[in-house]
Amino acid sequence: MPDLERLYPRPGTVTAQVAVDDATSVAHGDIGAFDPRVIALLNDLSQELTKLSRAEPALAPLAFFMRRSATTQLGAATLGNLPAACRAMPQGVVFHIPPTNVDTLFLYTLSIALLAGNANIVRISENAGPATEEILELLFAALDRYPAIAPFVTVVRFSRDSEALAMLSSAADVRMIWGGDASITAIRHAALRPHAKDLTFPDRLSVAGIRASAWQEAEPEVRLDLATALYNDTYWFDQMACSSPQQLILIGEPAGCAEMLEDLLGHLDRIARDRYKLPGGQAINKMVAVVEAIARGSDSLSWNSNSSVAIGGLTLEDATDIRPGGGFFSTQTHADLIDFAPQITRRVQTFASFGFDPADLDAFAVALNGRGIDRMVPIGRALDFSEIWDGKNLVLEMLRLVSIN
Amino acid sequence: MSAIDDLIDAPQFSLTPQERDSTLLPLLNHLVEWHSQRSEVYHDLIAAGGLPNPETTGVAALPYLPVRVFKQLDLMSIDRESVVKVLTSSGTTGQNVSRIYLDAENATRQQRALSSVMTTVLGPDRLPMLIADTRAIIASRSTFSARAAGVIGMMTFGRDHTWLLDEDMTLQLDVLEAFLAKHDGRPILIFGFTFMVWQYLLQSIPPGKYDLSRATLIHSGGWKKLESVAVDNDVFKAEWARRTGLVSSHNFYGMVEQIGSIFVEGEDGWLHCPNFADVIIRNPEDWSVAPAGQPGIIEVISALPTSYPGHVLLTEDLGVAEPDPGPGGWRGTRFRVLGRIPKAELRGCSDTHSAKVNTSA
Repeated sequence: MPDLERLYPRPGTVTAQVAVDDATSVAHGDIGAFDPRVIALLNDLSQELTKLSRAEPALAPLAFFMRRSATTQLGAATLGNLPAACRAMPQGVVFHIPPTNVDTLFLYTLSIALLAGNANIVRISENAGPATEEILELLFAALDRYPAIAPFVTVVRFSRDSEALAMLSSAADVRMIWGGDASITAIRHAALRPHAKDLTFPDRLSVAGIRASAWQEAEPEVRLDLATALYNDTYWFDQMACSSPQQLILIGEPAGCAEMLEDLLGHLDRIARDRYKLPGGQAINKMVAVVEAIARGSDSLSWNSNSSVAIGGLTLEDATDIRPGGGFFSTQTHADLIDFAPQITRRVQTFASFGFDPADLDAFAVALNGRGIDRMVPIGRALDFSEIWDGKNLVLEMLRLVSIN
Repeated sequence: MSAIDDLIDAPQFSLTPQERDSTLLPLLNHLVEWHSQRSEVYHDLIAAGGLPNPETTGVAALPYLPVRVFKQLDLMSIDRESVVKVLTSSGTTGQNVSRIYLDAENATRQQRALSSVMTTVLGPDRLPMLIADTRAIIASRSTFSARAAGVIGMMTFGRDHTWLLDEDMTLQLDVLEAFLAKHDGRPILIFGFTFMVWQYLLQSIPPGKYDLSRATLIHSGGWKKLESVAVDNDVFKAEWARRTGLVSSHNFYGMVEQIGSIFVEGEDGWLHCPNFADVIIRNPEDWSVAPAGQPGIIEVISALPTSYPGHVLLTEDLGVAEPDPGPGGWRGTRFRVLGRIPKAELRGCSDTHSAKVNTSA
């Protein structure tokens, strides 16, 4: 019987069977979809996270997502728009396998699964950083304050090759897997029961698009705000979150785009030099990336400082694995947004934009016809989490519809 | 004879920085031109403005490549048919390896250059040679490790090669004693990797038992493992002197990406550049040349590479330089290696996608 390290409840080594029994014994128990006690717990935790977010601004959107008014509204919108004569019930046991290194992500999916009334097993990576530990402490303290809800959450840690994975998978009704393509494929070798389903969130890449004329027409303070918003989108997670834009697409006449790009990069560079601490060794990673880009045909290079580097002239496909992060942009110029559409693949997740009409964006989405891009947001909102993610409504995925006729 | 051959064949460590500007710099400028015409990537990088470099004069103004690109790209300035030798480096655990392409001319020249450096250090005669390693590393002729390649390269400069360690790294005292009896009182050469020389050789020699005062020790391979047990070069040398009377100890620094070009520790305890090579310490904030005494990133420069654009390479090692001259008579910029730059630890939502360019050592 494989052992695992249980972090919550009662830290210690237990068998995987114990974790499974704990979760299955409460599943379909006494909390339903959008239970007021779950809403209260999340609101409580949101207030704790808000305090922490003064030091770590990337936590602010998470805290915002979990506050009472947001979750209540989500519940009303979800339950008020069900098909006729349907009720929404929990799926049962949700097994969460969040990514190693975006510290906040597991709380979003745990929140949604709890709001839907599910029992949860969360696997925390062995390589999780100190920020994860800090967030876990807040979570555990909040669970302790809500003893009726606490049994619905088990948090564990086990090594990559442990047989615990197979046992926990066999108990899950929904398994959520985030990670690189290879990790997801490896995890999916652990079988689910026939009725159960995987929700996978593989490696994605994201793009920022700006209409050059809109930038040029903007007042200086609007430009600064926009550059700051783009800074937040890109640098908060070292530009390595799936939704952090790594590509900059400029739309307009070539000369205007070139002028705009220089201005934008200058703004970004000043902000980044002021606020961003470049991880040690990262500048050399960018140098290697530059040479790789040149080898693939990149014809322009802008090295404002170690904090902001841009190359130009590569297609999305050629630039896809040249993504060192920490302020490295592959740039392209097109006359029209629609001209960029042929390069979009399933891998593209977020399109963060400035200067386009809703009709332009809608036409872009229609032209793509689902081939890629799951979300379009204004620049500055790329890292916001939403229950609509990677093309799925996560709340509905956590629920089963029971029709009553 | 060409200018590079003049630099190689003369006694090494003899040129002042000013003399290097008039002899070495023109060769390097020529190499920039040479590789621009032959390596498309090198040409296009320079055409795009090159990597950041605020310096405008001297060797510091030369465009550089990060040494790790040889792990990512096949860079060469010759036709593939001219390649006679492909050198590979071992990275740390499981990473890509560098691939260095040599043609016949470059292969010959790097051997002559290394030989010239060693002759300056060891004298013209091949000395009886003790190897602080096990013969097992060369047992498989087809797959030499980087360690084996290093030993084999060095064996050229000695004779009566005697392997001191058995397969489990135990010093064979009887082998050592027989060797010392045979070459009683005459100069000998000892070679090995720094950590092994310390851990498996010196630690197994009882203090005062053998007289190695006429031996010259050549060692390389980095101080990382020894730093963890608080052994630096001063401690290393003092302990050799205390246990064996050995006083002639030369650490050296080099890399497969500039094969043949090694920087050797002089009497002053600093690493020195041979006449066909140079070194720069760059400030990693803006890539300007760091003032003497201020730590920065080591850039190594060599006039040897003609078959691949490896003449100016930014390493991932930290170092510090001192101006010429120091005590001991060797000339040129002197430097010390302080260790590796830290590996960038990035956040991100994927656990695999950054591997391509982020984590190579």
